[in-house]
Parts: sequence; structure tokens; C-alpha cells
Amino acid sequence: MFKIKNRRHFYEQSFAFASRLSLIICAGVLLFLLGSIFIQGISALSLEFLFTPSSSFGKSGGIFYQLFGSLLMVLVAALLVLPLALGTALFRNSYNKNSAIAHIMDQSLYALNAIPSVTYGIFGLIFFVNLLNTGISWFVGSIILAIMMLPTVTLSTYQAMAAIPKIYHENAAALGLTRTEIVRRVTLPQSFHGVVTGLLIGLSRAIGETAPIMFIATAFSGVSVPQSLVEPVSTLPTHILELAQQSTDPQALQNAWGASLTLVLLAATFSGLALFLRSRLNSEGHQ
Amino acid sequence: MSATSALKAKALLKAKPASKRRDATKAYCQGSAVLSIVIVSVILLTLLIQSLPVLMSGDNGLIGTQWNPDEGQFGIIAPLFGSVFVMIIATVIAFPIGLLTAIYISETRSSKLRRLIKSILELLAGIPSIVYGLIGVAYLNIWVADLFDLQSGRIILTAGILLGIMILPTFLTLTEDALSAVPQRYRENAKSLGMYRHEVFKDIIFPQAKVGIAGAGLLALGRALGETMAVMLVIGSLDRLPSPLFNPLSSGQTITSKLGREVGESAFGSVHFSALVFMSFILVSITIALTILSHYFLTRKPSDV
Amino acid sequence: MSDMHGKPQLALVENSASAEAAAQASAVQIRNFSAYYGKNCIISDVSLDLPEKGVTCLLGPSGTGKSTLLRWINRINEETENASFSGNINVLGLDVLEGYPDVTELRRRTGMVFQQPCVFPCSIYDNMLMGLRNRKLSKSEARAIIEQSLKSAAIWDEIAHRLEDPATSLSLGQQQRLCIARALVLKPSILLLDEPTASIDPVSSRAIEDLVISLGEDIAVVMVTHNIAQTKRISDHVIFLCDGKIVEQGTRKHMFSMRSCEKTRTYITEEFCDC
Repeated sequence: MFKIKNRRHFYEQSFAFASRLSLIICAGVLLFLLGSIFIQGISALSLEFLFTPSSSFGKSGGIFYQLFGSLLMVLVAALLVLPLALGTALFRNSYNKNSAIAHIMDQSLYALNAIPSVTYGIFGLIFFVNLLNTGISWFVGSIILAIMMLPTVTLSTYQAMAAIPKIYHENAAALGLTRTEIVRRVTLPQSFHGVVTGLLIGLSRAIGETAPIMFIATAFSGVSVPQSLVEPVSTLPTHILELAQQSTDPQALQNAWGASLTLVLLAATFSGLALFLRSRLNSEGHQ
Repeated sequence: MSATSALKAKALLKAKPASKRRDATKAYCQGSAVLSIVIVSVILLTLLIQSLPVLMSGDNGLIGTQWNPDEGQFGIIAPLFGSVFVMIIATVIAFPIGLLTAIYISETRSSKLRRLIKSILELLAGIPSIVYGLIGVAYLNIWVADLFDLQSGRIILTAGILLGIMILPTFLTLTEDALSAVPQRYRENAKSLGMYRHEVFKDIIFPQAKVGIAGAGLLALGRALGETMAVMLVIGSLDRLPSPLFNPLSSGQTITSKLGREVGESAFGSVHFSALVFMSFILVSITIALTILSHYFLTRKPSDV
Repeated sequence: MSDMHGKPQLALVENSASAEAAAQASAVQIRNFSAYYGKNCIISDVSLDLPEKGVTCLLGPSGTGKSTLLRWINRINEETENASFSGNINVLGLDVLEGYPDVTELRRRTGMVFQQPCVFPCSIYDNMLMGLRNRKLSKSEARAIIEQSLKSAAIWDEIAHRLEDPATSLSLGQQQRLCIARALVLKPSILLLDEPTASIDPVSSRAIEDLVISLGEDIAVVMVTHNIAQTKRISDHVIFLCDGKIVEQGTRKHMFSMRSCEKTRTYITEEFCDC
């Protein structure tokens, strides 16, 4: 009896030890990741760094046009995806009564979410750059990023719509509003936060994407503000990629860390805003 | 909307002539939905069509280990093997640590601590993969090289470790969701029977959460297979099977690193390009299958088990 | 407490000598017990003893901390966020904190059944086996213990032929009796019941009440309830709590007689308490 009790006790202790150890490992990895990004990045980061164009192939100077290119591309992508995601979510929520179609839509969105980012780049290269003959174009990059954001924004919007209490719809219908009027007066205003949250999360992911845009939308150096839709820009992720490949050069590495910190801060700002919005709305919902 | 309100809406639609603007809203929504589905189909179709040239060209050694565009040899086995190998290493690292940490978090009584950890994980999952790649290049590959006394740390093991770190937040947070979804009363009932925590987990919690954990695992596997930038920077890009086969200390290639390196260099319309697209098509098929399967698991409720 | 009349079987703390004597005869001794959720004090400075045998009902309106008190006896409230307590709880002669460094030991000696029936999603037999896991028993020994427990929970006749069926296929009332049987496999000296009939139909409730009475002949049964009629039917002793304090305690006879204090009488007749 004692032996058995000891064995159970031994398992219990090892179980507790293992799970605590795992937590410590996770915390260690976390500290290392955030620590290295911040400590290395902060020494490179300055206002001058942010607002000076890069020079000598990125090794010196700042990241002004990269920052500009990244923001331009993701913000235009957000503008492109907004109407599409809103319409798709509205259709799924308010017009579609066919469960087979709903299923196909869900699976399509999951599939979009599952497609590896590099594949988006290849698709963009085939479909836009070559078949539609756009050439390397930042606007094509925006389109591809918009497609990548589509599932996130649509699902977030749809969830916000599905969360509207049925009683609102029923009351509105009882007042004699048609379905489209209900959409415009009830569904849209009540689910607006879902659109914004989805867009912010989408932005925070899109701004860090490298693989989808590196074949189709960016040039490494020698570009500034694009004059048309079909010109390349340079972006933060592709800039980091180039510099990381010269990682033996301390100057290049230094600039890569600075650009990384900028990128992480941008992504964190978008997702932080989304979190803030979500938690504020949640707490309002409880009151 | 309930049936009655739908009926009322219909009756009203009949009573009043539908205005043009109303139709426009509906048409816009239908159009958006159709476009969303069309986009997916177009992507998959484009990849399939562009894969055809290599599939139809004979004697290309597609199911082989040789990759040599100049001689028309496009063997996909080496990168396919590399992808799976790296994924397995990442899994072996991330899954046990992720599961055990998730258990710790789900067992903690403090909801504040849980929320804090969850937010940090969300932040970690938001670090762009290129930044992970930079960390891999700047630290990890040097450490691995020192540890195993190698000339270069750009090897399969480094890629696996980096990928393990990258999928850890996703796996951890979804696994924790699955564990927390098991109602607290099961824990209380089990503990009131004098069961130890590991027994409660093994006999009560895990059987109910395993479907969700499987979903989390599949989703993480999909992410691992599709991850490009970080892997590309640290794997060494060597188009050969490692020798011996399961030697994690040799350089290698995954499908994604291959695509990232070579798509820009191959001419559009060539068999070489088509072979790369075909690889991408295989990759997409696997990741879509994994993700749809994982959604099927993740959306099932514990009571359905 | 000094306004107690009659001959309470519940030992009351008057001096340390009698407290020690009480420790011999009581299954649970609680001294100066206060329970908190965060900084909210839900029950304050309660002292009581629970006898070794018989059914003790913790009676009182909802939200007076009856369940909290019960849940601290086997420390299951440790699972609740921000929950803490001060004072002493003594179970079977040992302090719950210091006497049981391994909390599972405490929980094996005290069975507990909750308000909501909670069977594990496996077969009836496996449910019964949970408490016996990792105890080296032969299959026939385990089966004998399980049969005996199911019999004492008065559910054996109904389910003997379907032990391999999933436990969730049972009716709620049967599930709750299975939960009681499951708690009995470890042969606990104390059985803690947290409103076990609250979510169950009246017929099954009666079956559980009969079961509780017969269990009370051998072990200490502590039952939280706000059902006055039920208390009258099954209790040997009654502890009436209101607003985190003990209003009065005594035998059932005493509590349901005219000799009980005014507050108790009001509550028992009007189910209202102005604390």
C-alpha cells in the first residue's frame, strides 16, 4: 500500500514539475524573443532612423521609404478588403438561408486561411504579374494582402453579426422593416466593431508578411514614392530579409534589428488596438 | 431570424414595391459572397493549370530526389522530405511543452494570470515570421553550430527548433482553450474523489479535450508546413536528401524554402517554374486538408465526444 | 450560543476541556471559521462540530455561505478563484491544512456530491472505478466494492444489468445517485452533500432523501439545503445559518419545536429571514 502511494505521489510530483518546467521554458523563450528584439532594436531605432531613406543597400541610413511602402500597401489592402468582407459576412448572416451554401462559404474562408503565404506570392506572380501583365506592382501586393486578410475580417464581422440578439431583428421585422432595411439599420451599426476589430487584426498580420509580396510588389533599393499603381515599393519585411542575408555585416544586422523592432511595434499597435476595442466592447456588453 | 419575422418581411416585400436601393444592397452582398468563393477557386485553379506543364512533360524525374533544372530533373522528394522532417522536429519540441504549459495555465485559479498569459501569447503569435528568421540567423544558428561543433548552423535542426518556437503560441493557446472548455465541475468532482491532478487530467480532462487538442495540433502542423521566411533563412537550402536520411545536422530544403529561393529566379512558363508551382500545389492541398480537418475538430463541443 | 435549550447532541464549545472531548466524538470540528472571496467575507467567525454519525443539515437562505463552508471541509474550494479562509477546520482529528499535507488523503476520507449531477463521460462501471484507480485491487475485489457501493446508494437493482452503458444515458436522478455511489467506493467517514436534490425531480429527490437517512446511520452526512420540508424529513441535527453566521443549531426536534429561537421559527414557518 505504501509503495503504491509513493508511486502515485511520484507521478503527481513529476507531473507538477514537468508542467512548471514547461511554463518556465515558455517564459524563457518569450523573454529571449522579446528581449532580443527590443534590446537590439532600440539601439538602432531613432527618429532619424525612421525618417531617413536607406543608403548603400540598406546598410546605412534609415527606413523611411520602407516604412512608407509597408503602410501604403497594408492600408490600401484594408480599403480593398473592407467592402468585400462586409458584403460576404452580410450575405452569410442576413440573406443566405441555405446551409449548403453557408458550408461552402465557411470552407472557402478556412481554405484561404490555410493557404501558405508563399503560395499567395506565386499566385500573384502568375495571375497578376504575368497573365494580367501588371509587372511588379505595389497595388498587386495590396490585392494579394487583401485576399489574405479576407478570412480574418469576414469571420470577425460575421461573428459580430451573429452575436446580435435575435430579438432586435424580430422587433425590427415586427415594425415592418424589410430585410434590407434591417440590415442597414440594425445589423450594420450593431456589428461595426467586428469589422474594425477584424481589420486591425488583419492589418497586424499583413504588415509582417514577406513571402506573398517579395516576388510581386517590392524592390529592394532605389525606389521612393510610387508614381503609379504598377510600380514597386520597398517594405519593412523585405528590407529585413535582404539585410538578414548579409548577417555577417554588423552594420546591416544593426539596421535589420531596427527595422524589425519597428515592424513588431507596428504589428503590436494594430493588434493592441484590436484587443483594446474587443475588451472595451465586452465590458460594455456585460453592463 | 425566426420564421414568423421572415414571413412578415416577405409579406412587406410583396406589399411595397421593392426600391432599387434595396435590391442593390442585396445584390452587393450576393456579389461579395460569390467573389469570395471565386477567389479561392481561381487560386486553386491557377496553381493546378500552371502545374500541368511539368506533369505532362515526360522524363522529368518528378518523383525522384534529383533537382537539376538545367538537365530537366525536377525531383520533389528531397524538399517534401525536408518539409516533413522539419515539421516533425518542430512538433516534437512544441507539442509536449505546449501541452504541459496549457495544463498549467488551465489549472491555475487566477483568471488574471490566464488573461495576461493569453495576451502575451497573442502578441508572440503576431511577431512576423521574418523577425523570427532574423533571430534564427543572428543567434540560433550560431548557437547550434557551437553546440554541435559545425561549420554552419544553417541546418534542418535549426529550422525545426525555430519552427517549434513559432508554432508554440498557436498550439498552446488553442490547447488551453480546449482544456478550459471542460467544465470546472468535472475537476471538482474528480478531485473530491481523491484523485491526483495527473489522474484528473489523464482520466477526466484529456478524454474530453482530446478532440480540441487534436484540432490545435493539426492547425499548428498546417502553419509549420506553410511557414516560409524563417525556415528559408536558416535551413541551408541544400537540394539533397540528408545522409544518413534522418540526420538533423545536415542542411536541407523544405518546399517553402525552395519556393522562396527559386520562384523569383525561374522563368514564367518554363517547366522549371511549373515544377515549383506543382510543389506549391501539393503544399496547399496538404495545408488546406489539415486546416479543414482541424476546424472540424475544434468546432465540436466536448459533449459530442 | 448560550441561549440553546434542550439537550443538544451537538457539542458546543464552552471550554477547552469539553472541546477536546468533543474532538473525540465529532467527525468535523470548525473553530472561528471565516471564509472570503477576495476581500468579501462571506461567512464570519463560525464554530461548530459535526457528530460522527447522523445527518446534519446546513439550512439557510441562498447566499449565506453554507456551500462555502461545506466546500472548505474537503478543501475543494481551493479550486475556486480568490477563495480563502481563516480559522481551523479539523476533520477526523486532523487539521485540514497541516494534518493532510496530501490533500487527496483528506478528499478520500470525505466523499462529496454536488448540486448538479456530474457523471464522467465513460461507462457506469468506469465512473465507479475512478476513485479506486491506482489502488491495487483485483478485478473481483473492485467489482465487489462497486456492487456494494451501488447497493448502498440504492441504485444497484436499476443498473446492475447495464454497468457498461455510458453513464450519461442515466436519468438525472439516477446520475445523482450514481455520484453518491461513486463517492461511497472509498468508504468515506464523512459525506458532504451540496444541495444534491436541487436540480432533480421530486420522485428522485425522495429516493435520495431515503438514501441519505440510511447512510446517516453509519457515517456523518452533512447536507446543505434551503429546503425546509426536506430538512424536517431527513435531518438529525440542524444548523441554521443566515448572513454568514450561525443563528441557531440543535436537534431536529428542538429546531422544529416552539422552543427554538424566534428567527429560526420565522424562517421555518415563513421561509423568510431578516438578517
